[in-house]
Amino acid sequence: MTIRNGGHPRDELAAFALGILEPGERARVDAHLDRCTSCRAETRAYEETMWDIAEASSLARPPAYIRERIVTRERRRAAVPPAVRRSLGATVLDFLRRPLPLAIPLALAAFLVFSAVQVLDLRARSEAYARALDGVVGARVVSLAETGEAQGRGSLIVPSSGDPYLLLRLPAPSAGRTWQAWVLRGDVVLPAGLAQSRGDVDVIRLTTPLAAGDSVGVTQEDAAGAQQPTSKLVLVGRGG
Amino acid sequence: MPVIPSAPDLVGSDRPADDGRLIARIAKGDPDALGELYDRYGRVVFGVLYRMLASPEAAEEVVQDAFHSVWRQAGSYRTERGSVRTWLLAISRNAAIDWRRTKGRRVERETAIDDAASLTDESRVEDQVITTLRAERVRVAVNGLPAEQREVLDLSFWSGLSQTEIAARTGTPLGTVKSRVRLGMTKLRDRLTDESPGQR
Repeated sequence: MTIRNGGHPRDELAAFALGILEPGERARVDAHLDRCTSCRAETRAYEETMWDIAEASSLARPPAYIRERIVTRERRRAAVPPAVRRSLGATVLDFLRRPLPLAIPLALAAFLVFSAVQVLDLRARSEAYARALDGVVGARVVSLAETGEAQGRGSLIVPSSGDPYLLLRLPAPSAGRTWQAWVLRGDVVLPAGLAQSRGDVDVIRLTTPLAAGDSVGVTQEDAAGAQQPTSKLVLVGRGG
Repeated sequence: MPVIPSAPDLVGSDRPADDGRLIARIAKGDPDALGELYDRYGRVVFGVLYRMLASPEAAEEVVQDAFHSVWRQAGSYRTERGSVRTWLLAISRNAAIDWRRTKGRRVERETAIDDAASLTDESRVEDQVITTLRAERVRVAVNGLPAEQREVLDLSFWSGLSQTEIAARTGTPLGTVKSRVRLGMTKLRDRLTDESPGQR
């Protein structure tokens, strides 16, 4: 860290406000700001400049339900009496203090190994998905929203010429099952193709053409496919 | 994505004293105060996150995380260290950077430009005029910077890269990056302060 101007880290204050100092530098500047009024004022001016930039660049408007979700989440939490919260914490602590049979740490170790394998697999799939998206040129890319039924991501790719397709990063389906695409047209649900594995990502070429107002969705079905969905949607998005 | 009018538009409000009282209420566990804080600054925060993450879904997730952090950290907010809105901005940008490092890995092109346009604000005309004037003032100030200073500020502000990461990405010596960050921010601060006396 550059210390000049009588011990004041003036050269670092802009970077501090931007949050781009390395952790060690940040801690040193932070400690200095605790005791230096003039550096605090200078940092504050930088932070207000950042706010100006943020405000000037904010074109997007959040959907109204975001506010409701934010407030409701905390209202529910606030509704739980502190005493109940404390007793829950105490219960957990009591549980953790109990002597453990040997089987529990062994099971925990096995679980951790399994989880690590899962995480590595998920990371490989995420990177493959990102690489596949990187390779998309000259097409409209629309993200699909998760419904909460399975962890994953997906995008609808609409090339300027050729058939639309889905690029998916979803967990491996159960044995004898596969991911199936659907075109949702009003109350009608049309089968739109089965997943083909391309390494760590899945691709579904849409066999049903998209029309204006259509949505697309993905479910897990028998490997041969289904005429109507038999499980819940895991991804959904606007298609037409 | 449907555009649904949300809470009253208070972008650009300067009310640090009120903000302090809101934070005190939040620290005491008042969810309505959190809602009022969102009414004031939620739009700007969402706009920043939308631009940083280039995905409406990600922005929605992270804006909720950011306000949850405000709820949990309100008791540790210190007035002398900065205004509430810049504290909120810092929390939100950190949340976006964390999200990208843990979930995003890269900014995905999940929204076409025309989709982004559909999210553009449809607030009252007078608000739009004020916002547009402010935006124009900032745009002129930013465009007045040398290209190399704009580049490092873009990478730090919108991409959340550290100075070391910017140096590696641009192939520029770290000392030069630090110098550009400092010069660029100082110029912006001076220009925006000079042109808007009494704004703060």
